[in-house]
Amino acid sequence: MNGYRHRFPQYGTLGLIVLLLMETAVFCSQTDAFPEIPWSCITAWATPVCWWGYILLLDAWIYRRKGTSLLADRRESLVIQCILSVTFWCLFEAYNRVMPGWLYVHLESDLSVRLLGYAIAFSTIMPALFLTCEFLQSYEVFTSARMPRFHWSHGALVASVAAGLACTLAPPFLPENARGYLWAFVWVGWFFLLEPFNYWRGLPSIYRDWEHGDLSRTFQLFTAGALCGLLWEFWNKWAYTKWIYIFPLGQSVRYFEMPLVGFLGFLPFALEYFVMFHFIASFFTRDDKLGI
Amino acid sequence: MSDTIDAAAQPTTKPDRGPAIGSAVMDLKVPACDYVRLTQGFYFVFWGLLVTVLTGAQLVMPIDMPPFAELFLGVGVLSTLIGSWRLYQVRSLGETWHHRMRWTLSLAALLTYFCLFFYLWRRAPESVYLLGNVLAFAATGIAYVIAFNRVVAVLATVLGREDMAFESRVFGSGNVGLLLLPLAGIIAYILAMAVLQKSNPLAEFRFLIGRANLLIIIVLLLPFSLTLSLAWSCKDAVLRQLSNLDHPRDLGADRT
Repeated sequence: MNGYRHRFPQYGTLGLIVLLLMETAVFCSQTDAFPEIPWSCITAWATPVCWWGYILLLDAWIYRRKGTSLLADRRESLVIQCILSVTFWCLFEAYNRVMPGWLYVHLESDLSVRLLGYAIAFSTIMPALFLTCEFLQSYEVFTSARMPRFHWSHGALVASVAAGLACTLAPPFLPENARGYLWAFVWVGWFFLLEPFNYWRGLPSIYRDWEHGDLSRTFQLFTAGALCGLLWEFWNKWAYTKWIYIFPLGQSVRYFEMPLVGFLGFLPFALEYFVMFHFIASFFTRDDKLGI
Repeated sequence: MSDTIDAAAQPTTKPDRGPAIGSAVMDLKVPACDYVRLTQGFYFVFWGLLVTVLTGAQLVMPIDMPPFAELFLGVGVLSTLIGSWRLYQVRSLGETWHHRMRWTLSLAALLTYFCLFFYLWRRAPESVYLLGNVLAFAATGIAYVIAFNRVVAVLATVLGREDMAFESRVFGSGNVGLLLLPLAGIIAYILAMAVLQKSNPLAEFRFLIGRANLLIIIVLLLPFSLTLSLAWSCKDAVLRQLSNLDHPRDLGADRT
């Protein structure tokens, strides 16, 4: 990659300013500075505001490095990502109702405002993950990661689909007190279930990467998931409206609000979103809408 | 022989069709492989919708169902999705067909998505969030049936089947009147009671379901069955077109 050849878009500066202002508000709320200002009203929006600031900043940075970016050239893809992001997260929220994993606290009492907040916050998940991955790619991180080549047999792919079905459908059927331990299966289940279809249909596929001995995209997505996970928990910790984890595993050792063992879920989560995006998008276009 | 069939040349087309339909028929050359896709698509949609409607209606009712009964719902919805996808792959029926199929396929995908909520709602029936998504599942199903009727209207026009085109319009209107409007009424009632009287949406839903007697259910399921019969008729009509191939062995080569 050739260094910094392109201008830094202004929206990137805006993102940085928004991010810094919200961080200042969070800091003030924690230190009781200017107590006459109702900081909680501002920091209730910390998560969505910080994430949109992050997306603007990161996209501008990518543009500066590559001369092309999601916001500059692929706005249609951004809109699709936002819609799919909300859609997929609502599904995980549904799992959360059946096998409690987290709780939201200090939610806005007005339902319409609350729904708006959900939509703005949930829509950032997919763009943030994929932009972070693209950012890593622009620095050629893990581009030389390799493994021995092999060939996927039909049986192995069918077994993957079966495993995916079991991981996604079985946990809610199990006894209520056991469900909380089974989140790991949900975080990997959709990957196992949908990835073989992407492979069979010739779409961008992690399984095909592995078949060719290429681990670069896998590690980039893992890292993107881990980085976003760190930031999710970091920005969540001191926000007024926030989530806390209630799944019964490893609650004694925590990273901010997240039990450390739960942090591992962020890695396959990024792969899962990658697979889900391509699976849905492929029904309507064969163009690679992500480009990562 | 050519791998395309002139739809106008088929004996099933009526000689006295109107000029608009006639010109549409004359303009289109339908490859044999598209007839195969159409047949498969309608077949999957028919059985998929049938299983979905039957299982869905029973799962909503307060009656005991065997464990894993929801999986039948999943099978039905997936079949509908596969059928819609096969129909979407047909490119030779013009831009209107493609445009309407795009919507239908989107609704089938959405139906599959909401089916998961239905499945989870059975595990946690006290969740208002999941109930909301179940109602969205029902609304999407109805929207799918309406969109499917619009797709059939295009095919009927291409095949020169005015009777089918008329039926698709009537059944589509029936779906709006008998399914969409009552569902919109139910959702509006639940929301209004929740906002005005602070009532529990779940309790309201259970109350309404409890009031639904067999007659109402039959009336509600009627539009679905009419659309299903239309899907079967479409499959038959397309098969008839296929059977009129003068060199059927070319079909195998075409498929590859």
